[in-house]
Amino acid sequence: MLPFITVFSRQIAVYGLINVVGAALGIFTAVYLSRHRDLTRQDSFFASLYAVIGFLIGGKLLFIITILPRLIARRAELYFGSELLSSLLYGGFVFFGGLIGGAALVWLYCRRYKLPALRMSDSLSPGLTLAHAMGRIGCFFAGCCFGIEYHGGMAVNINGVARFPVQLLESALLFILTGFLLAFSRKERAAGKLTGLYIAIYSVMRFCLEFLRGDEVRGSFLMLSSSQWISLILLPLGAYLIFRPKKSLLLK
Amino acid sequence: MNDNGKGKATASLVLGIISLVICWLGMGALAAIITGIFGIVLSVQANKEMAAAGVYDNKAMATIGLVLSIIGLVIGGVVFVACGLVVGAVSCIGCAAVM
Repeated sequence: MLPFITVFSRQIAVYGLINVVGAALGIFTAVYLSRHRDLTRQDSFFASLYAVIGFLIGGKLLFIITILPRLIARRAELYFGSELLSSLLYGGFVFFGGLIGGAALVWLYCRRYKLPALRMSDSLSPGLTLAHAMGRIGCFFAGCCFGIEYHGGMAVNINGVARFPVQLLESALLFILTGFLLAFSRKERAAGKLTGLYIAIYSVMRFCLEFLRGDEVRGSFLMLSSSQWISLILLPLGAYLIFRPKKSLLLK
Repeated sequence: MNDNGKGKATASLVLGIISLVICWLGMGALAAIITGIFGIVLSVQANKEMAAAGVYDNKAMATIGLVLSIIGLVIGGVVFVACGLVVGAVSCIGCAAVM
């Protein structure tokens, strides 16, 4: 793995670098797609920034929630300057937490400035999958979010154990999903349909990929991981957005 | 009193400068992320207030504040966000619980 590179004598986290590039590409995609949905480029850009902020906060919060029992057990080590606190602050994000946090802030932005939230999320979704695909490449280089022990072709060595490159598989699938969403967005669709497709497809994808994940330090409940439970919750939402009646009163 | 976003544009600029300065300084990178976030939000709000009022006297300040906040946030993120760092600590949490 290659968690760090050295630039001008400073260590730079490859994970952070790749995620920044991915976020930039995602924002560019969202701004580009806004022209199809009667949204100004400025509003799409600002909503994208809110999405990034929400992602950082939500991803961190959900990560802390998933490891809360273990943090409580070691609460004596959580003081200013401790190694555990440093590691907690500087690393660890759960994508679904980021998705929920980002969606919440985008919704707040749209509500505050009276913009169509579903049209906004439709313009953001392909960019989000693109950024996510890049992020998984970052995970591969960082050696996190690794796969189950595996000794077949394309196995990668992580901390002395041969593992399935699930990060690269998810990245490849997300790139494909990005292409599909971009193609789907070329034609005028009902507001929210693109978002629903993204949520539904990614929920199924993530549920299946979780069986190939070997980083068991994440939370789990009744034999399913926290991300699988969230996938089960989000899938009906995605289906609703895809199939909802045009004059649905629940969402605009 | 409605200042057409001047206060928020100024705050955004200040936070953007702070974010850019401290993002290179150890723990400052984390503080840079936080100040960058607030700088971005304040700049967006300032822009929106100016657009609502139709007065753009402070647009340059808000834009510079936005750019500096984004740069501070990005550099802080690149320097510090490392998914793999925490894996070691968290896996040790599991070991400690067993012991």
